[in-house]
Amino acid sequence: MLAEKISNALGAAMESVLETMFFTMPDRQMDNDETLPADCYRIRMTFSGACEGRFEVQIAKESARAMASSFTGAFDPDELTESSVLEVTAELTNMICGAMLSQWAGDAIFSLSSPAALPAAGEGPDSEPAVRIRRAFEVDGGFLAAQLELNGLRA
Amino acid sequence: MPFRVLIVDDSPSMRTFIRRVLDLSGIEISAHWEAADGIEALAVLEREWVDVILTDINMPRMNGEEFVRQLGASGVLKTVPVIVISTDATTARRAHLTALGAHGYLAKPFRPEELREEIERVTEVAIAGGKD
Repeated sequence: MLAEKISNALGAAMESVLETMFFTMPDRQMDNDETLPADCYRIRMTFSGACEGRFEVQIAKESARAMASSFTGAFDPDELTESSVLEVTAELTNMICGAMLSQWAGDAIFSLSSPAALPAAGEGPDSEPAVRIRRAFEVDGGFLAAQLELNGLRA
Repeated sequence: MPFRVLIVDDSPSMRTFIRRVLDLSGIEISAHWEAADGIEALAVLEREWVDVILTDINMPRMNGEEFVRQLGASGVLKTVPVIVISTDATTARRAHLTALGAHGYLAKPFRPEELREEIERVTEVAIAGGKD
């Protein structure tokens, strides 16, 4: 029940952020067991407060560049530097995480860390979280996946 | 009425986005300034008068919460409408920032028309005599 509620909030947050801030829409929801291509950016942040956990976004590099172009209004996506694309991807991560937490627990108070880039082929989880929710969409010629890990809660 | 706007955010891409959304929203901007944190923003306000301030919360050196607090403690600057733009849409955070002196609050993600409506709302409050 809790996992379903969070999953719905996460999916709604992803769609809302894509539509209103990046002027795009997901093309197709991906199955949770679909393997994501390795050529991607990974951004992670943590949160604490009413509950603790971490939030991670994986996005195909071509999708990240296209979305950064939409976000900044750059005429040519190729004119953006990689650091600019990563900065916008960090904003994307921050917005999805904040929107998801607000939708799921709008009366609670959370403290969010700054999003940080990770190596594309990163390490596994430090420990098994109580709840892990993942949603992934095809978007802008690639994919966008978001994963939430909560500690100390039961699905 | 053309607006003079101060945008405060540590992310250059977010400042660019807000400037772009201001254009898309149909609001006429006569001048705008950008600052990366509260300290830079206060320095701008020492030399420029603005009609509305749009500020993030999470910033280095001086965050949006302290910036709003300092504006509220200033005799002159507390009349300048300030809108907090944040990913945190929780009612508790909204109430806290409002209590500190923020005139408006806009949660990301937001549509251009929502930014326009919030600017129109808070500037009308200011025209009517400011926030108590």
